[in-house]
Amino acid sequence: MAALGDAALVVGFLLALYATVAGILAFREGGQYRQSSRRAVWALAASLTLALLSLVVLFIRNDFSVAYVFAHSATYQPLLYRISAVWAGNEGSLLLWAWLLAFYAALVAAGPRTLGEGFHDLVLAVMSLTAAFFTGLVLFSANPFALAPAGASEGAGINPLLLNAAMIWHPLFQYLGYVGVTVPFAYAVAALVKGQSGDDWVRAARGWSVWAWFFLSAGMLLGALWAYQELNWGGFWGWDPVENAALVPWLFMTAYLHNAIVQDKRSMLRAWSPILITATFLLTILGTWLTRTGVINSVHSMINKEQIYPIAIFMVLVAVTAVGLIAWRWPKLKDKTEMGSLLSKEGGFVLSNLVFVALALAVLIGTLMPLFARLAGRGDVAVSQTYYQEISAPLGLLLAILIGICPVLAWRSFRWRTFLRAWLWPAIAGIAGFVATAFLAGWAHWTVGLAGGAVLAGIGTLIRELVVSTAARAHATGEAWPLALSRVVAKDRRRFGGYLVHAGILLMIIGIVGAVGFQVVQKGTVVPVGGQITVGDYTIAYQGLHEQDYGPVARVFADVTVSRGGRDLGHLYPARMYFPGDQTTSEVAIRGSLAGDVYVVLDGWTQNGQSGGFTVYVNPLVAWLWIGMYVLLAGGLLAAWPGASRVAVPVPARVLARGATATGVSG
Amino acid sequence: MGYHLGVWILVLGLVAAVFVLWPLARPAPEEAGEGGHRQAQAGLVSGLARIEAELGELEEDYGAGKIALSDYQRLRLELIDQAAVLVAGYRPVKRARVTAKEPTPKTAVASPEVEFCPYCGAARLSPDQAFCHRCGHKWPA
Repeated sequence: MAALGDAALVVGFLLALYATVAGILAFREGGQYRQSSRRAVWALAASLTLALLSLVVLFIRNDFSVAYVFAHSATYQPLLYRISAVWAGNEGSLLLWAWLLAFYAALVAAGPRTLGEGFHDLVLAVMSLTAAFFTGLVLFSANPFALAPAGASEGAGINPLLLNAAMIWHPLFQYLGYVGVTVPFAYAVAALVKGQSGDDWVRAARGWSVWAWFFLSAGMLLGALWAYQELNWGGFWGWDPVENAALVPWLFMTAYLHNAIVQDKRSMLRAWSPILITATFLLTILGTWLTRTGVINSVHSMINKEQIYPIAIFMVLVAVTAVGLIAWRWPKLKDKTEMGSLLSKEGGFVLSNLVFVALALAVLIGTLMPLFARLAGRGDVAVSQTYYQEISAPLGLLLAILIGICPVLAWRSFRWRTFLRAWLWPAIAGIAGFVATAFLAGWAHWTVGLAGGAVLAGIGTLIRELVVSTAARAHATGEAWPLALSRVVAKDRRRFGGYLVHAGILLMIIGIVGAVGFQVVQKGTVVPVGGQITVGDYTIAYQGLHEQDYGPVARVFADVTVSRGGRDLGHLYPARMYFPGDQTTSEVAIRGSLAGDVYVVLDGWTQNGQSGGFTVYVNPLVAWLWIGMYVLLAGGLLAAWPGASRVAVPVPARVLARGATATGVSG
Repeated sequence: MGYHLGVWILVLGLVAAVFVLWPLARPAPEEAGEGGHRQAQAGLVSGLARIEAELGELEEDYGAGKIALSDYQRLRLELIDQAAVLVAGYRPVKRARVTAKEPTPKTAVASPEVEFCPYCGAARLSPDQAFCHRCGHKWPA
């Protein structure tokens, strides 16, 4: 089976190289090369599927003669975690990357060729070249089919921290996102090479872009959920390089999606689109370079120094080529139309893009700072969380304010009177939110009040948009409100999906501000059986220590009761798990509610459990972060789901007639 | 593993090679050209679609109270003007009606043979002309 997988990798690599050459020949000559390049892409996908399936079978069979299986599997591991162990290490996760890329390319090859045959030949050539690079990387520097030195009856087992449901899906979604960015990037390169740098490529790549963004979001947020549930430090985001490596491309991709809307609607900001998508693509590669090669210290344990130069050279080649293409086509990237007003919706999009890019660059600089310092001979430099918090708080607040304002702005024009009339109720909601939040948090925390105001103004704006659009439709068509609402949303999924994403972000801000700004912690408190710890409004009483054995895995857990204001909230069981090979993990216990989580960590115990040591966190409002996450993902799905094209609600004839009378024109 | 690996590479490689290279062994398929006229048509269609979408946005913005009446009227007329300019700039191609073996009337006056482009109907200006001067298609040999 290992030989079959290895052979499939070799053939896949050759096919990817051939598909690249055939794609270029098809672009130049057309004819048979077109068919042949498409077939090569499909064969590549089939070949890498075979390689991946071979690895899955090796894991299911616990074939410890293969070094990668030996290092990441064990007989006591449940089947699901044996399968997810396929992408738990560097070799398997790179194979997953290459396979997903081939899978995307196969879908593109089978899809419609709306932008012309030559254009799609180039798209496939770019994707095949990228697939050749990643397949080559797997084959030559991270081969998951390499044999172990000697036969072993038991494996080392997966890193116990990865035994979490979020860790099954997080890498899959993350890679679907990272790899999905290659499709719009390939469209951008094809558009630049062919000189088709108008707006059509952005429209054609839209579906791919939104799906990539959706998967990037899902991967990043599931990673945060995993960190919260598994890493026992009471938080969900530690600004670790591996987290930043997901956040920075996400920010650029978000900016690209916003830019694509302006380009689609107004033929503006054309030069931004290829720049933003190229940056996103490069940052996905940079992220994997940082976290796989160990050039920067990270919680990630995938370190393969052999990959430092190949990935770095690939990144430099992509960057130089992309910059050259953009410079070559610069005259064609000039906008067809001009911005009507800086305060129009276009202006709002430009400002949002600037904030996204500024935030992404600031996070990127912080992430790369240790590398720069080492290169400059300054030794090991660590960037503190304070740096990231101080840059992300004001920029995040600005984005929240923009979410509340931009939907109310009109395309092309701006008048204060019209704007203030439209924004009246959201503004009142914002002021009420500011006062209420500042009052609850204490006036010293007026910046928190600003966040509360921005969130409520934003939610007010989104509700207003929904109500006004539904009312307009109900008025124009005579439909009942629920029907009008469902049709308004169904006919403009992109817009309302986007609004749902905005709502998700606003809810997440509530959770982030609550959990980061108002967290209460009591660390390392030792209490005897029957003793209590009081943290915030909560009281945690220690009832005793117990042990359970699951074969070679032992679980020692404490029984604690949680109460608030004298009301019993039930039992929690924080635990420590002991795996073979001296691997231990701490399993946190969380009692969650919309008001906040009580998060209990068992640090240790003395005298056979007569006293226990605990760290307790109270994280106010953190549930809203996860609610916001699901709302955001639902919005992403709504926007990405293919559906009916946008149909505008007709303006009632009387409105047109009134306008005509007022201005003395008809028609 | 070395022997097995070699065998698998050979088997998989052969299957893949036959599948991938098969189109190269067959005659090239006829492909529709991407002539200038087709591009002009596509440009007109996408331009009109863009203006239609912008009109939709404008009307929605007005319906939602985001834009003043005078601005709405002005921008609407601007967009309609843009559509008119687009349509006015488009030159439709008169295609030659091709009928199967149209019998030549016996009384027809003999005239020098004139070739017409089968795609756009334009006359061939000289026998040396390799491509149609209007639509760019290659003249049949």
